[in-house]
Amino acid sequence: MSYGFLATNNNNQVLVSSDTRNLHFIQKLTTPFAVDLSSDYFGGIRKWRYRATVKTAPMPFFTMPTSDFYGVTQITQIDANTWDIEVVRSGTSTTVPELYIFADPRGVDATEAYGMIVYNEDGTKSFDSRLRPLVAFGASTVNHPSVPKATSNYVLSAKYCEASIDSRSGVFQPDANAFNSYPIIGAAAVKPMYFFASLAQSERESFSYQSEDDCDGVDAYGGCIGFGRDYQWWSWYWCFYRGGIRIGYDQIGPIEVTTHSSSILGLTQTANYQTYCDDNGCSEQFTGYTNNYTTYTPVENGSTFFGTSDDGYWSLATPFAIWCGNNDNTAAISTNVINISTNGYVTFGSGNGSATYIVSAVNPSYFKVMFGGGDRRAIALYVTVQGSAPNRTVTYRYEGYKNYNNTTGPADIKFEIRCYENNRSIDFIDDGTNWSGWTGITPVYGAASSTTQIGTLQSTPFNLRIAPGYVKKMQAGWIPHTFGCNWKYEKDSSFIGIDTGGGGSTGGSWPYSNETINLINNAVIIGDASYYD
Amino acid sequence: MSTQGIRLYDASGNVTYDSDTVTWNQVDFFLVSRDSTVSKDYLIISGREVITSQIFVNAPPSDRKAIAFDITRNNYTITVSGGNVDALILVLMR
Repeated sequence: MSYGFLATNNNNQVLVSSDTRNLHFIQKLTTPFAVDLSSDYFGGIRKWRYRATVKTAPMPFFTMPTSDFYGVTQITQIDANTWDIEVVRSGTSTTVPELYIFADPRGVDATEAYGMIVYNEDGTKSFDSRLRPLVAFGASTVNHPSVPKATSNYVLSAKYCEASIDSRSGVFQPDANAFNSYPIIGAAAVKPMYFFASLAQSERESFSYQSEDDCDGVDAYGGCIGFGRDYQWWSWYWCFYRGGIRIGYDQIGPIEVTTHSSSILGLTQTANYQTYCDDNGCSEQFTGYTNNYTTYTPVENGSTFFGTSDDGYWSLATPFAIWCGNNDNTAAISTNVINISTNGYVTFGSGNGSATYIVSAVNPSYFKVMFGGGDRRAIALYVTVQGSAPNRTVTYRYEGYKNYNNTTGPADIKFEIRCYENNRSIDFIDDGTNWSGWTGITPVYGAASSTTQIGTLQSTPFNLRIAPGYVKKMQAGWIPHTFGCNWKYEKDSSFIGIDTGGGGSTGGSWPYSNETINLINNAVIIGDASYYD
Repeated sequence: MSTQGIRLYDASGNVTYDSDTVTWNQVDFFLVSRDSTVSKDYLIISGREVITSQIFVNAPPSDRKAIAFDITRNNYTITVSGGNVDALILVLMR
């Protein structure tokens, strides 16, 4: 530009320009102006209308106080200064989001005397420091999976759309895993607020058919003598979905075995596992070996801890949170303390050193990984932290004797527990020797007081990876938005005489029709609502 | 605060704007009518990072398809086409 005002940062990103308009805070809306739909069916549907007062088109940011999917589906101009904003959400919570309305500075008047105003060449404001300009912490794009509901039971009544909403609910409720995941952005925001305009739309339809023959005459041998009628009914149940976003957790376990080399003693063969998940959980299957000669570097330096060598444990603060997961999100544990028994097993939540607990599901009653467990004697534990936040690893290297009666000589059992900060996974790596008491299968038990075994670590070829826990993600999924039913009826024929047909039939299909549109990369912009409270 | 930049205060001494904090600038926020094609030139976005979005405005009943606009960028030109619902088009830049 030849004249005007331009402020950029070190990355040459534009901060203020007289050629553009910054977004400024207009108002905060804490409650909806109207509730347009509230249903606990279909997994829950909420459709609210918020009313904003602003001179120019509003750009609404919303908070997400629950773990449901949210989206702004449309904006309607009521009059010159009034706009309605439709917000939809999945789930049944009564908690409503807060809306933070932004617009360019023409949309609001400032009264303070101090500040800086930048004008466009047309004389209108592009920036006004007296208002609160939008500070965007991050922006990204998301896309939605093409199918909100993969399979379902179409058995709904064909007669006059008579199926109750209860029975429709399960037929159309979005699949729990129907979402795409993306890295979290704007994590530094104290109170994240999101701009996301819902564009993706999907439709699912269930078709049911039924016919009946009614006999007003005399039933005879499956037929009808005299006067009779044939009826047919067709019903098409449908549900429309809109795309939404949420902050959720991707399960990275409970047992996720990936390619990993165990070469503490020079073994470089890598086992490949594939994790398969369905509604009943996840399991891994061994798919073969590859020799990629990746070297696992044992960690032998760092701090050294001795302490009790027999039937004791080390309780050590971890340099970052370690996540351990159960089979559901709620049972996931975030801990900053790891407890390593001299008898080789690891517990979270509390420590234990007893040899009698080694193979017990009940005791100790906290999340535990029995890897390395046996009635052993420890020599030392070496702890090493490597890397820089947020990509640190901490490695705990155990050295001891297989048999607790041994007290002299070099260690004959070594293993390492390596925790990763960036993906919250934990590796268990042994030395490939034949451990006394090692059964080949190591159970992993669930959270506090749980006796449920949530997985096993495979023993071959001693390269083990457990990734228990969940990773926080931005997720793009589906929100039921509108539902209904269309039907058709036909009194097919009447007859007098003898009809040998009789009976009737039922049928249907799922999905009878389905379509998803607007699967495009759609912007998500994140700000910090605490700036504007 | 870094050694360079601007920081603006209100009358109470509170920071109202700090150039250390990267923000996205609204380049434009304009209405496009359904079934129409609009192209706009913004010289300032040339060579800069741009994000676009759209919000359906006065959308038809939700039992009909609302096809979103296709928004493309060619250097400093933003072209909006292909939608069958009125939409507000948001262009952000930094």
